[in-house]
Amino acid sequence: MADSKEFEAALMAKLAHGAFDKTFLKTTSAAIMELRKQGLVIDDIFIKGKPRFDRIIINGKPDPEFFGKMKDILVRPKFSRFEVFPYGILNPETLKVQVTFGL
Amino acid sequence: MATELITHCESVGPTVPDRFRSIQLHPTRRCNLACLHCYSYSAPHHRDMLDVEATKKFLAYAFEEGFNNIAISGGEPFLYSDLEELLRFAKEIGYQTTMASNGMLLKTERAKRILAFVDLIAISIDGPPPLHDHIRAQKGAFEKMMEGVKVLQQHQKPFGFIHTVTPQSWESLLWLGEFAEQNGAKLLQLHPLEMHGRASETLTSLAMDDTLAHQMYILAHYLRSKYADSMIVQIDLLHREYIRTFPQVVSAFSRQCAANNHLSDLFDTIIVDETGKITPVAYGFGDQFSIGNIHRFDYQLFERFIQEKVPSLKKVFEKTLDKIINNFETDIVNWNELIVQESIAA
Repeated sequence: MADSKEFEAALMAKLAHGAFDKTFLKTTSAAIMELRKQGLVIDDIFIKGKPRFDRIIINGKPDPEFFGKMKDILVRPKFSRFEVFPYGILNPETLKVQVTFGL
Repeated sequence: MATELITHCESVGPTVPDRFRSIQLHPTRRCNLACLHCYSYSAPHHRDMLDVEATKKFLAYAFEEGFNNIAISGGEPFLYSDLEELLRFAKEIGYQTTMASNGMLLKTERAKRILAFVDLIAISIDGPPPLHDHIRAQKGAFEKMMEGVKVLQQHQKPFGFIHTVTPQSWESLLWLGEFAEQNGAKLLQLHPLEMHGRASETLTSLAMDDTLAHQMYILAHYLRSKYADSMIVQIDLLHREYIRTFPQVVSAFSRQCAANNHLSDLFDTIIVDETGKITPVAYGFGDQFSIGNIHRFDYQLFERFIQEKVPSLKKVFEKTLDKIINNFETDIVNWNELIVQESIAA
């Protein structure tokens, strides 16, 4: 809960500053939309990075067709990391995807 | 997946297995409140009410034509004198029944009888108590609403909260999510403030802008993920690129079933206002696209509407889609508001 509160405070601070940092708002919305579009059921969005909270991390579960569209996702330059857990198992039911964008 | 979606009338998005085909009923604009953001100018002085026999006849016809859900709004539905009879009838013939209410009139025995015929009730909430009372223009409104929520909890009636997001309220969305979850809500619907009705006179300084749309979109998705196991968080905003990829989410003309010539395949929602006027898509839609009136209709009503008005209506959908997709200045859009504007201008 403490972690969640910390994330939320940081997220709100970042969003409140959004009027002065439109790029952050636009890239975050676009990342959420892109992953939803490709069938990722998003179950966690949080931000990390100090001191400026410069990374958005999105966790989610892929739908069965998600990996067929990997190339569409990976061409997006905003995604700096794309990880699938656990590695090497190709049953989408058991996988989680973590996407990081930002620095 | 996009190609496959277009072949299924029942699916309108990548994760939505079925859809409501709703009749949004506004049986009266009478309300015990006169909220600052009310799009229908509802208020205590209104007296017009839908004739219940005509409404029942229309509901029976529409059910045969494929509509499967009624969503009662207003005004305050509990001030509609024939509400119990109407809901009982709707349930008998097979409709799912939903309702939007301010929750302040749920303590009576009549209200409890009515709730037995309601599958899901959404209680409107405008933020923490001081903001709620301000928007509702009534001190103590939040407290009275909570008395209604307690009734719903006691009767284990599935309920949700519906919130109109404004520049004053978006920073309370985390609070709202926690409040809804702690009170046992199954749904939290977040709707952007629209400049229709009373809002266009009293809240012009609070119009939704691009920054607020992004803030709301991001926070709503965060809440959706946070409460994925306990309640549905619905946001009435879409990203432009999502619409470009899945136009069938907003336009049935992009679904193959549009060729079926069934009104319920073309429009997820039709609206009946307190005068009996039937319109497609959303409250306030352009008058020239009126489907008819429940007080005087025959059983060719929908078929005639499809033949006479749907071709020009299809152009309104296409034009709205085209404007959204080609406006790279605006990422996050309220589809309903834009298509209503386009229908009025057409």
